[in-house]
Amino acid sequence: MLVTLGMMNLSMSLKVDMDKPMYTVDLVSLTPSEDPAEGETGEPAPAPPQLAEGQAQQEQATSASIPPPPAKTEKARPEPVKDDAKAISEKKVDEKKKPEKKEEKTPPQPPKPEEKKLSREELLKQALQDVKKDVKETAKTAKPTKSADELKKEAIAGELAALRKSTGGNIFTAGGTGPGGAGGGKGTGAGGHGSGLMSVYGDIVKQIIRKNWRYQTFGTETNVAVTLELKIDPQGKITGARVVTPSGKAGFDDSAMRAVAETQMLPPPRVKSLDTLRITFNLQDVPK
Amino acid sequence: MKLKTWLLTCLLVMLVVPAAHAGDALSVDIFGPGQNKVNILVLPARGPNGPGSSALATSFGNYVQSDLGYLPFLRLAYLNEILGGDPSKGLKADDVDFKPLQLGRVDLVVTIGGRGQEIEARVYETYTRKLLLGKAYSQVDEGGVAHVADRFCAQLMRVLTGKSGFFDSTLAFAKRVDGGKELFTASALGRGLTQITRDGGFNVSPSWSKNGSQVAYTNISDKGHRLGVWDRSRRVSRLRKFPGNVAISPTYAPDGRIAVALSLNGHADIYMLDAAMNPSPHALAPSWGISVSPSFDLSGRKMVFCSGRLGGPQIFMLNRDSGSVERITYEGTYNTRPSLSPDGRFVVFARLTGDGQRIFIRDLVANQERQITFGPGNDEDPSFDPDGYFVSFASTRNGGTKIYVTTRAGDAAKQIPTGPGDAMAPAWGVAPALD
Repeated sequence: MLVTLGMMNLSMSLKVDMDKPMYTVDLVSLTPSEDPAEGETGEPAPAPPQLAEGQAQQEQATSASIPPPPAKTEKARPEPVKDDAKAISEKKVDEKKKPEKKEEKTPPQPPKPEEKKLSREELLKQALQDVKKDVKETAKTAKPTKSADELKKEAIAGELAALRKSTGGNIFTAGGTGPGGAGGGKGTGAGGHGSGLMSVYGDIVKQIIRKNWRYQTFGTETNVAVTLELKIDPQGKITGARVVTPSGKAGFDDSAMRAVAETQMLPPPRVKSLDTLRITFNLQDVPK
Repeated sequence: MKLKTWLLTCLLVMLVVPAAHAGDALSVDIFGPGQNKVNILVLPARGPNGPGSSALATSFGNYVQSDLGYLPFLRLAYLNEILGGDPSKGLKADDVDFKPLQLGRVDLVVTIGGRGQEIEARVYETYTRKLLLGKAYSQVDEGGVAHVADRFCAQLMRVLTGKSGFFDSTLAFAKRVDGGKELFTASALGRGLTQITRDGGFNVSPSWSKNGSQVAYTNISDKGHRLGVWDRSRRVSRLRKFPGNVAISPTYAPDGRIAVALSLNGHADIYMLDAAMNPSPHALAPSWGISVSPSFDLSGRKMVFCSGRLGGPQIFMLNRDSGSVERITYEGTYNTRPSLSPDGRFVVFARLTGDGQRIFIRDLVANQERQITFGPGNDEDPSFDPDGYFVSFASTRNGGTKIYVTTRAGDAAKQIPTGPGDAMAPAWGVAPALD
């Protein structure tokens, strides 16, 4: 009785004000990597790359004079050629010489299981037999309180949960305006890794690749973007790259692929399960 | 029912299993390239007997290299940056080893070949080995090789940027002649330098009509101010006097009419002239202070100008649809000679600073301002090119007044050859250079 009264007093004194706003805070946890040994080595974080040439360029006040034109420029002379000179086509070169493309392809997918080769009828028959077998077995072992349907649902849910756990498959975002925002990302889900590590790694990747990205902004629309998908190994080596969302401008897409090809190597990801980078190259004509 | 459930399970499993070994993915956004310059290498010109054996092709290559140096979005690479030197055995892609070029971070490579009066030139993208541009020219002589090189570079600029106004336009400017000033024209590379007026006195403030057929200017002599109009087709100029004895900074509007500062009411205001050269009854953006130096965007709806209506000279913009006037410059006490980019987004102007006159640019969209020239001496009379990217101006930085070109991003300025004597007040026009 006394205990009940005490609890009633306590609940009356602890009023919860539901009108107060609630804040969600993304804690950046710079936890060591999964491998304790690696964490103890205390590898220094890769130094931020130097500022890009275009950014650091100072205004050159000095002017450079150019060599004078030929002495005969003011003389009247016949027009040597017309502007519309013959265009030289080299379609053969365009089409056959692309050895780089082979290197950029993503690694081949593992062969699919042979079960898929079964015909529809065979598959149905096999599935029916399996179901019958399962029902018999579960009928023997299952508790009488649960129906067969419930058991089946549980089995499906369990299987899916196991698959989800095994895949990991989180998609994080960094350095942009994509889902999850600049520093956040889609949660700290199944892998249990802090989004802070991903965000920091994303910033490092961004700076390294951007440094190697050369493209003239003059004359190009600013709303141009291409998304590449990069495969990296645990050492940070770029093992493959492909265009997943082209910009519609081949030259622009090539410049992004070239930047990735020149980068070759990135710092090892601190999250071991990270093996895919989706990088969107956006063009902006930012006045220097 | 059970069968359906089981089939659904199988389907889900089949969909998920291929990704069973997928790891985490990270999405990264990169905004803007790290380098705004593309590296380009002009390989030594080849003749029938190897590199350098054709003097004409070698001369063509030198002009191409010089021309490309004007384009601030290109960085000229040199052979000593390439491992193993010249990686080419010929002119076509099969004859070029692109690997050392890729290692040397060369993005574009130019191959040039010549035989007799024929010249071939190609530009390849080194990463994909794509042919970006290939041209063959015949009947080229030494006198015309510079012109051919200019045309090739204009084509390349068009391929890379979609624009080629720098090569396809002409500058008009004033030069000192016999104690006075006369108007000259030349290409942006200084080719085709031609004196177009012989009026006597001082001809200043040239402005091209939008189709490049006429140049309007001010003639100042012992007869006072007169408005001059030079006609390209007839190669003659006519001078016209206005009441008030003032005719300053005439400028062609996109519709072909001339806006000029006249002193019809005791002080200079900007008036539009009709086809018969009669001023409009009302001034554009009238005020009690002087207004001069009009400049229009391509639509003709926006006009920037310099006015002392609030005290010292500042830059203002007139919206010709609404009649509203907006002040553009707030920094500095002496801002003059505005030039509006064709798209109406940027205004360049000269500002008097503690170190002399300097060119500044104001982005009307981003509402930001920055300096794009840095002297020494005085930098004045800025003018946008037809693409709204290059900016020409006059400067005393190397002794005497010469014409230079930079970009709206403030790239390193390069001098335009205009021959001996001072040159000033450059104005871009879309007309090709005179023969």
